[in-house]
Amino acid sequence: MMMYPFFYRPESLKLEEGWYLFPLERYFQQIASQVSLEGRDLTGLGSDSPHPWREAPAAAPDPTSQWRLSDVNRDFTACPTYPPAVIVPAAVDDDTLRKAARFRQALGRRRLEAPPSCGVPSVPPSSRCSPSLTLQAMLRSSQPLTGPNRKRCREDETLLGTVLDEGERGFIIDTRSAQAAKQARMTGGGTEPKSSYPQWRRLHRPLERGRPLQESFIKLVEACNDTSINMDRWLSRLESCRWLSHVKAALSTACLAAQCMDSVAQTSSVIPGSLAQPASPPLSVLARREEASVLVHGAEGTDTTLLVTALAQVILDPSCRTLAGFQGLLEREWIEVRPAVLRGLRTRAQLGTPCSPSPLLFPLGGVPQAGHPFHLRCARSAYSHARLKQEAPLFLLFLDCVWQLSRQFPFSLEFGERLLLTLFDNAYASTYGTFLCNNEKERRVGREVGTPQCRGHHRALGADSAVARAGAYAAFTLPDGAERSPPSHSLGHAWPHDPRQGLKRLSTLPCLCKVKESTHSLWAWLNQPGEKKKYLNPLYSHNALVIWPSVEPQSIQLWQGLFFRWIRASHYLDEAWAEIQRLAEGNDPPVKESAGNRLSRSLSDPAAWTENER
Amino acid sequence: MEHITTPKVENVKLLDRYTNRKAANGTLYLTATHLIYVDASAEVRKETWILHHHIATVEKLPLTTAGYPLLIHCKNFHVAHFVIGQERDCHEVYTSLLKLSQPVKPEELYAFSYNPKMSKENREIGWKLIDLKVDYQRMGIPNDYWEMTDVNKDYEVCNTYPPEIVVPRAANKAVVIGSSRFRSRGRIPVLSYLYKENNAAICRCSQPLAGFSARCLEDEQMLQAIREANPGSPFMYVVDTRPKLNAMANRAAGKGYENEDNYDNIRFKFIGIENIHVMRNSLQKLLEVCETKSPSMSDFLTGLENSGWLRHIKAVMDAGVFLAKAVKDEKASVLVHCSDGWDRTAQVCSLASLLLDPFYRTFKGFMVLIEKEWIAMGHKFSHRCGHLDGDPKEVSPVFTQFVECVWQLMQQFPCTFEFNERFLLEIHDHVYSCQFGNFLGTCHKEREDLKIFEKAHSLWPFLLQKKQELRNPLYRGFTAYKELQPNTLPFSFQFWCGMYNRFDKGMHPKQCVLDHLLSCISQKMKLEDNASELENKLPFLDGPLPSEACSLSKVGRVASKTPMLNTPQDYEVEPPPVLSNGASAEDIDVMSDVDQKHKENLSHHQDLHDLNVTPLTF
Repeated sequence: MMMYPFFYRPESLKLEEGWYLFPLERYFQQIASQVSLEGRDLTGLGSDSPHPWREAPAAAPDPTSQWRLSDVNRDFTACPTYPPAVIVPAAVDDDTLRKAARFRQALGRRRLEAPPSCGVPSVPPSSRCSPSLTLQAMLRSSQPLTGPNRKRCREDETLLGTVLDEGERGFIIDTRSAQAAKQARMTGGGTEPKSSYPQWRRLHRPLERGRPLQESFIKLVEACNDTSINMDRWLSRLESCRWLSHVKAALSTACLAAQCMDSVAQTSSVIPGSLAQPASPPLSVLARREEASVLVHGAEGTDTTLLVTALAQVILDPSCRTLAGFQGLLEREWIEVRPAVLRGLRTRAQLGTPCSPSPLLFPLGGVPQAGHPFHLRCARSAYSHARLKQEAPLFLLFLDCVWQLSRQFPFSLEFGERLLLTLFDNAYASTYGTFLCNNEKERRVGREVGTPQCRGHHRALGADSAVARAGAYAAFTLPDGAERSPPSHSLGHAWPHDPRQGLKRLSTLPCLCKVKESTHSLWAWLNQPGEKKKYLNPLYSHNALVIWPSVEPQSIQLWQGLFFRWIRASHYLDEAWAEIQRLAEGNDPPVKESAGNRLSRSLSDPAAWTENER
Repeated sequence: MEHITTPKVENVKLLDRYTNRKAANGTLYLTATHLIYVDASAEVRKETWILHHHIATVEKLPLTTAGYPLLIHCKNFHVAHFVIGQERDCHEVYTSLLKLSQPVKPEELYAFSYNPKMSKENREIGWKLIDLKVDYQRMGIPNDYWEMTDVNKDYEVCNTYPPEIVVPRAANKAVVIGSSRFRSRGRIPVLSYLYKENNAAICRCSQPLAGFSARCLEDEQMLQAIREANPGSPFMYVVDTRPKLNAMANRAAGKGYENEDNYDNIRFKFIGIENIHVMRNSLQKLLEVCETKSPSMSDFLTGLENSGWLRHIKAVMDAGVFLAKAVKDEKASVLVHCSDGWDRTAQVCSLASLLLDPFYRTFKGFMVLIEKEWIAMGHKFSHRCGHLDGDPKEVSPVFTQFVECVWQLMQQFPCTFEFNERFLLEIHDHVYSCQFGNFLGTCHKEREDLKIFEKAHSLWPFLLQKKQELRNPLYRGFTAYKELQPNTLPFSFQFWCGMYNRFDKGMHPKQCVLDHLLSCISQKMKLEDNASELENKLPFLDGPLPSEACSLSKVGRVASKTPMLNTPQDYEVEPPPVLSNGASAEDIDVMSDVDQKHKENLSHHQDLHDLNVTPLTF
């Protein structure tokens, strides 16, 4: 790994900064404290700490009765693609998990030794909570390995069964068509048969991924760059590239998943009073609600599955819409591979009550889950002449969907378009290590040269990939972007020597990454006060409610800020943005107070009056 | 009134077009001017008002289990789908609306009965608010080359032009009269806009009666006079905004276009904007797309493409940009015409003025522009908008296209217009509403004959009253930008959801930036007023200031961004199974939001008021 991030040493940053912003242990505490806080909410005490990141209460109740931290994977012997520490429900022992795990597809390792796999649905401690605190879960996994012989797995069935209470129903959202899921049986995959999972209802919502998605992206970028086309040709190419259809489908499916879990919107809109008084919920709402747990999976559970679960969380959970929260979401859904079978976990109390209307989604869970293989998916952007099989702009699709949300809810996201653009840039070419590699183990130890998977993609993952990325990046962003996009010019001296030499060296040496030790984290950079300011949305104000977007075609727009970033003149739009910033900030107390404040102080403070009187 | 047989129908349902939510249930009233629907099922009283003049079509649909459906399409793109219990009621409402929505005589128009309780003097002042002479003076006219002439004071030259027109000084009365004989309907070349910086002018007229070989010396002299009024350029453009084929077909009817050989130093150019019939059909197709229930992305984009609407918008914009460039960059004068010079010509000339002159991007300037290029120069609003029962083939969304072009410019130049999107929508509404006199009739002469100026009111003072909510909070002032050079690549033209799906609130962004910024501004103004008021009192109280927290800081965060409620729509054709329970209308948020804001403003005001009071009691 002789990539630029390993040489990049900005003065303002320390190496280890930003890598451990969201340590699992603290998260564990937060979940526990949140659960207990909700319990109190029911009795009428409001919870006013909607922000789970910063405020880990010191006096958290002992969560260890329900959950335990396991270091079963500390040296990656159990499973190379998971992080070392995982949270598991105390009720489930490692053996059960392992067995169930064999029934779920592990990414790229179907025939290797059986690790606790990529996605095992696991058990929420519903029975352990007080009766009114039944937990909701959004689960995420890979497909079950049903295979042509319709194999069953008792442990997997038990696990999914225990997610639900007696008589409760859950939903499995399969991001493949029914037919594709059926066909997957021929290659050892498949889907959950109704007979074995009676409480679960399966919904198929096919989302495109892989090659077709990449083709769509390439076609769109081609159309955008063709400045000679007329109106009809443009609209027909926009239609035929299908990118906006993919955006619509992804948003629709995420909303469906969110909707299955949440009925806040329906019940709360009945009570207009809740708008004015978010602090005192009518408890009668609780009885009228029904909600369900949801399991989302496609095939491997690393692409469309992430897209759906991550988007659903942005829609449901206000804490994912802050700058820090969004970073945390990316970190745990897309990058770091949090233990994530139980993607979300919420109480009934929370669901319907505007008193703590932040529907919390806890990535709790038993067995960790593979994140998004950035190195494979984001190698060459829209200019992949080499037709890499693994290239696909799923992360971009996610960012686009978030952009659509930010357009429809301009006050509800703490960050602006600029952050999304920066994330896009960095996913494809970065001076930071955050998006390097495909999973946690690669980030820590490096790749094992010799496994079948590694051999296949060795070249793509090595130094030449970095060169390709840089090239692709530069091509997509055009030269005048130098100022805005540090990576494109800094990559120019990314190589202290000939890149080919690096490649040679790489092919002879096993690459030891140590990403976290040897590169900077993007988050550390973004979170510097001066930097951070650029990414904030001046119009942001905390919105505790669920944000349901419209998915009508009239409501979905092409993300011009990205696709026409270097084609359209941004001068006038930048000015508008600055103006908005000025107005919004002018509305903040410090400025407004300037004159009035000083006066009113002297006028309203009795001490001042006496002073004056004298 | 005599058309209304059933003034009130109870138990009428109003269907929501986009969701499977329970329909609203309420009462429908017919008044002399409006159809009013009061939703009884909502907790907050919710009224839907539809002006009879806004109704484009009324249809009775086949009987359903719920009752007799009545589908109403409005000219402002509102679509209301009622279901009435009794067939008799439905039929009577239907026939009443048919008559009410298509008055036969001009006297039946709303403007003649609309009475805002305004004194006669104020009404007259209102009509004088926009004075076109002042605008010509602003351009520096009269000057050495141009003069305002009263040659048309008795409408002898052209009965669709206003009495006062601006022509080159060099063109004497004989030339004017001679030229008018050679131009369709006598619409001679007159000045539309003079670009003071380089004396290049935009002039407009109708097509020449050239046929295959006819010539007219006076018309040739007229063009020469226009060209010579701009000494800086050796040539002038003559732009025919029609497609070449259409223009050639007109030759057979003795009309056509200028022969370059007959006129000195002209550069002739076609700009293919389609005629009113093509535009009418295009809008029809666009609206069908907008109305499709749950279309896929492909359906929508294909429909948008097939309607050709954005192609036409781009054509108009391209023409405007061409004119502005010719004037500014090539310093050449331009003469523009189409067939009669009152549709495409009006679009193109007004757009070019808007691009060239920041004045027209202000409230006042935009009003002047519409008065000048559209109303005074005889755009046939009455026919194009179908104010009266008449030939449906005369109806065409020509003005709507102009308004959309302005909106497209606003998207590209968010800080350059003094007004916001709502101002455009207001104007568009009132072009069809016939509530004000400005847009009645077809030309100035007809408005005089109708005694509009004595009997009706002008729209403009009414809009200026609402200036605060119609202003653009991002406007950076008159001097910040001069000429605009919009990008006219296809991607720069977006579908205008705010116009064509304006009443489908569910499709719009759920939080309104405009409202928020407007409230920021008004708040700031209030606070500044307050500060200066307090500042005046300061001399009495001067002394050391305590550093304790102040009560005003609370006021600072008045949120216009109160958490909004929104409900999920159906994200799949098949409704998600869990959610079959308790669905309800979402529209309450509009009302309650406003209420809330109002309340907040009040309380905010109170806070400040308290502050004011304290020292006095002391």
